[in-house]
Amino acid sequence: MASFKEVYGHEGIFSIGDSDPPPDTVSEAMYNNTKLDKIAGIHTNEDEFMEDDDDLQDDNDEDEDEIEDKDEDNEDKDQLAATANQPSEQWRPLRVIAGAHQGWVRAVTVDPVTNKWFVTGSSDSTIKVWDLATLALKATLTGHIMGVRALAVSSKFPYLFSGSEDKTVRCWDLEKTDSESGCQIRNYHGHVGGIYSMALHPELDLLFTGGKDSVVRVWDVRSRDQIMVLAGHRGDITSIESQIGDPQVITSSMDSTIRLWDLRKQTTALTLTHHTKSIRLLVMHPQEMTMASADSDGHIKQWLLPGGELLNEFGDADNSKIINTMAINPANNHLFAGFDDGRMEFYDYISGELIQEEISSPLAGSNESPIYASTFDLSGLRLISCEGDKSVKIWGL
Amino acid sequence: MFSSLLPKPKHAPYDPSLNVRVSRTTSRHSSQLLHLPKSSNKTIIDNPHTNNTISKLHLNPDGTLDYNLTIASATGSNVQASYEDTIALKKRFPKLKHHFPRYDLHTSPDSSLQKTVRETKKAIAALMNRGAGSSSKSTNEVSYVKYENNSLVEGEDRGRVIQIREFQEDPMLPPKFKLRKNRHKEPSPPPPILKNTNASQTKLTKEDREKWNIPAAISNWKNNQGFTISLDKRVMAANGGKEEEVPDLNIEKFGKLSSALENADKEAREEIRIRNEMMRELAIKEKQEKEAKLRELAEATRRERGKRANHDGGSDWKRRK
Repeated sequence: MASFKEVYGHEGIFSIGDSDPPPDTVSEAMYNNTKLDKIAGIHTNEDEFMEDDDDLQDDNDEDEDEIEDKDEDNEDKDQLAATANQPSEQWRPLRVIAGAHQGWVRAVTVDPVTNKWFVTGSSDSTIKVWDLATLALKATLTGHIMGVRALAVSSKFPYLFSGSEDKTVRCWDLEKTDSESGCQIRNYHGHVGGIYSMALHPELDLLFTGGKDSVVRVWDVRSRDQIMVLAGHRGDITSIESQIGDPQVITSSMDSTIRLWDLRKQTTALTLTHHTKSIRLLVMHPQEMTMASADSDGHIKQWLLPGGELLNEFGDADNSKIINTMAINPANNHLFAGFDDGRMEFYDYISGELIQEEISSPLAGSNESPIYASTFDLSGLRLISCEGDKSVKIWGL
Repeated sequence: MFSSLLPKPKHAPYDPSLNVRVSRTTSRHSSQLLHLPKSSNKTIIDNPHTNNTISKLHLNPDGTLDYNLTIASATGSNVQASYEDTIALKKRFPKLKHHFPRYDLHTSPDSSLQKTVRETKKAIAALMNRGAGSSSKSTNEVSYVKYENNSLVEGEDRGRVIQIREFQEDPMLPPKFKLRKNRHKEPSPPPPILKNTNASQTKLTKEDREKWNIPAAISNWKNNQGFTISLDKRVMAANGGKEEEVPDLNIEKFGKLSSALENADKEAREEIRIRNEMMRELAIKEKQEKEAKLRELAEATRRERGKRANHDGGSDWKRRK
C-alpha cells in the first residue's frame, strides 16, 4: 500500500508558507471556503440560480445609478450576501412520507444508475421501492422475517441486495417485482449473526456483508459462494465501504477500530485505533479518497486513503449525541449527521464547520424521531432521512 | 519463611510435583523473548519463530527490536505510531489543500488500479477454483478398489471392483438447505393409553359419527397464526358461513295455540273472579243472618229480664208499704 506522501507527492498538497497554491480555481475556492456552486456549476436548482443572477444584475444597475451613495451600496451588498447564502445553505424539510413503513425505517439506498427511485428497509421486515420524484410506492418486497438493516443496489444488474437481522442476505431481481412467485432470486447462506452492513465491489462481482458475527464475508454474487471471510474485528461490524483501489474494503466496528483490508492476501492492511468509543458509522466520500467515521461519543473523524491518515476532526463531543447515520453530499460537500434523538447536523466536509443544526420534528404518535438512515440522492439536491417515527422525510436546499 | 521446613499438610490439594514454577525473565524488553542475537551487525534478521506472519525483524542500532519498521515491512504500509499521527493533518498543515480525487478505471492516471483489479480477480479465481477445483480435478481421476466380502456361501462371486469418482455438483442448483425452526423432540416415551381402544366392543353407527363429527378448522392459509377456533365457529365455517340450523316452527299453528292458551287463561281468570264474588256475597249474607240471630237473642233475653223485674218489684214495693 502506498503511503500518503508517495501518492500525493511532497509539494502537491503541502503548499508551505510563501509558495502560492497552483492556479486551480476549484481547489482555490475550496481552500478559501467560498461558494462552489457558481464556479463549478454544480448547483442545478435552476430557479434559485436564476434569481441570484437577477439580483446580481440589479445590483450592478444600482451601482451604475448611485455611485456616490456608498452606504446604501454596502447595505445592498449585505442583502445580496444574505439572499445568496440563505436559500442555498439551509436544508429544510420538503416532503414527508408518513407511515412509510409499519416499523422503524432502518436502511435506505438510492438507485445508483438512474437516480429515479430509492429503496427503504424497515424493522417491519419489508423492503419498499419508492419513486424519488413523486414518492409513489413502486413495489413492496416481503420475505425477510426480521428487520432489514442493510441494502445495496447493484449498478451493473437490476439487483437489490438486502441484509437482515434474521441472518440472511437475499438478492432480489427488481425486474420481476410483479411476478407472483416473488422476485427473490438468490440467498447467501452463512452468517451466524444479524447483518448490519453490506457493500458491493464497484468493479468485481463481489458482495461484502458484515454484522453481529464480527466477520466480513465476501460472496461471489453469481454463484452464491462464500469466497472468503475477513476475520479480525472483535465487535459487531457497523459499516462496510468498498472501492476499486487499495484498500478495497474498509470496515468499522463496535470494537472502536477501523480496518483497511487487503483483499488479495485476505488480511488487515491497517487498523486505525484513534476512536475511543464504538464506531457507529463509516462513510466514504463518493468522489474523493477520503472517508468519515463517527463514534457513539459524537466525534467525527475524517480520514485520508489509502494511507489511513487522520485528516480532520469535527463535531463537538457530547455523550448524549449518538450518531446513527451520516451521508456525504458530493455536490456541495456537505456532511450530514443524524442523531438518535432526532437532531440533524450539517457540516462542511472540507473545513469541518457546523453549517446548520436542525431537529427533525416527529410525526403525531411518536415522541421523538431518531434518524436511522440517510442518503443524499445522486444530484445532491435531496436528502432522504429515514426515521424512527416510521416515516421517510425528504429534505432539500 | 520457615514453612518449607514443616511437613506437607495432610489434605492439601497442592502437589509440588505437578507444579512447575517459571522463572521470571530478568529483562524488561519483551524482545528478549525472541532471543535476538546479542552481537549482530545486521539490522534485519529472520524471525526465529518461523510460523509467524512476520518473517523479518528490524533491529535498532542498540540491538532492540524496532516495532514500527518491523510491522511496516510486514504489512507494506507505514505505521502510525508517533504522537504526530494522532493530530489531524489539517491541523498540522493549516494550508493543506483539500484535493484528494478518487479515480476509477478509466480516469486513473496510472495503471495501478487496473493492476489491483487484475490481481484481486486472480486471487479470487484461485480461491474459487480451490473450492470447486478439487471436484473438477477428481472427476478425471477415477480410482478402483477391489472389494471382497467374507461370506462363506460357496459359488457366490466374492470379489468385485468398485469404481470411485466424485460426483460433480451443479453450483447453480437451488439451495438444498432451508432454515427451519428447531422443533423439540418428545423428551420421554409416549404415555400409556388408559382407555379401551378395542374397536370391536363399541361399533359406531353412522348417526353417532355424524353426531360427533367435528368440522375441520378453517384452512391454515386463513389461520396462519394457528389460533384455536371454537366449535361453533367451525360449524359455522362448515355450513358455509351460515348460523347453525334451527328447526322451523309453524307460525300459524303456533299463533293459534298461543291465542287459545291466552283465551283459556282469560276465561279461567274470569271464572275465578265470579266465584270469588259469589263466595264473598254468601259470606256477607251469612254474617248478616248471624247478626240478626244474635240481635233477636239479645232482644228476647232483655224482654224476659224486664218481665221478671216487674213481677219482683211489685211485691217488694208492697212489702215496704
